[in-house]
Amino acid sequence: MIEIPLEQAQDIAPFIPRLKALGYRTVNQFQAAVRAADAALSGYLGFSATELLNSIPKELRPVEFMGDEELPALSFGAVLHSLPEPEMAFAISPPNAAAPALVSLIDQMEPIRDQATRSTCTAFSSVAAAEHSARKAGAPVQLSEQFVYAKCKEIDGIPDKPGSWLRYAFRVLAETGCCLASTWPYNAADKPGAEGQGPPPTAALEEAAQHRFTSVELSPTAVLDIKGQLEQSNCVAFSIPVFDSWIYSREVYRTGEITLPVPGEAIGNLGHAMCMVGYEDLPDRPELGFGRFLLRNSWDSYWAKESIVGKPGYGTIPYAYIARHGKEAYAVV
Amino acid sequence: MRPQFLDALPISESDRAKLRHLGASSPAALLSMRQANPDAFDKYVGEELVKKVIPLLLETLSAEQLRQLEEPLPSRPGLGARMEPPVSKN
Repeated sequence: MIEIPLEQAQDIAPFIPRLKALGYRTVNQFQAAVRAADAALSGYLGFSATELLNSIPKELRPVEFMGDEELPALSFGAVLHSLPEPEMAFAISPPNAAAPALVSLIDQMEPIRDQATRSTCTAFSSVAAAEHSARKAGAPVQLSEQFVYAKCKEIDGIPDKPGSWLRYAFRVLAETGCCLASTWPYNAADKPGAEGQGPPPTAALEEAAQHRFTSVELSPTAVLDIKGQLEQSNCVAFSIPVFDSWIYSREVYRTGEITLPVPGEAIGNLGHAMCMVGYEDLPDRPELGFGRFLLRNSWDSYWAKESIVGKPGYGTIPYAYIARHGKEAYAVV
Repeated sequence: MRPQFLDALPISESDRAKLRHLGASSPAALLSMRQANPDAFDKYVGEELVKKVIPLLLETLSAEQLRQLEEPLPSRPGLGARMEPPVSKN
């Protein structure tokens, strides 16, 4: 069979970099992928993969798989064999008809908080998930982000640098526990030379042992696994890289509806952690990956004042953003 | 629900697909995205289409929406999730 480089298909030029990011180098490979996983590929591309394929002139498409003809059974194994692994595309799947199309835990959350200008989002997102778990168990508490962040900075290997990882926040919640916010309240102001602002008061350490939480680490790009946790009423703390196109968007700031990065937009070193509190399938929005997660931010209610989900401080993020850029994800179980 | 605002624009189907791919739910969201990162936006969309589509999108906004787009953005709130692999063996 003649291999036709993707570059020859100029009618789909804007999409070629994205197809290459999936490992496809030829029209043949792209066509085989459409046959094998049209829906997943459409979700990744944000556009019907079949339509995209059909916009390539017929003379550039391998004749045996033209148009909507049935794929010859004998060729199927060969097609799969030659299919590169599009790891990101398969992380996005169309909605599962058996699962609810909308899950929202927003009304079960403790009051929204504000991390202010400190780099403490991992503590806020993990505490939000833990507090929800406590409320679910019938013992609502308001926990200390100050405590979780201070303990993270003792173990994350970068005590003097701002920020941390969710893995340490959840290790603290499991092994040390967390004291109440009233025992060691959050200090919104930076303390130069004391990133974690520790050590915690002795009373806080003793109290923390009474509030321990078990979590599971999830694949941070596995949309379906994350949805599965939310279906079971388990909040999911997650982290993502931040893109200028949404962090500096007035509309995102107003509504909380986080947008996808512009294709080709540079990934910066900055990241943010938030807490997923539900999801909404949107079968007619393939560009979003067929839906979006509902999220709780830690920027008080001045963020998303006119929230798309009806509660200031809360917003949404597309499935496709998570499938392509998720960095860490933990559910409190 | 699928946003309809792009359907009404007098642009080609491939241009429409390109803009839809950005996932914006409203003209204000799309315009705001460009305000936030004009370099990336213009590079992806292309100068010619940007020149054509921005005025068309602006025409669809109410006075209130235009005012909102011009509001000063508060300074960026705190972040703090490290993106590099953890350095600690813990």
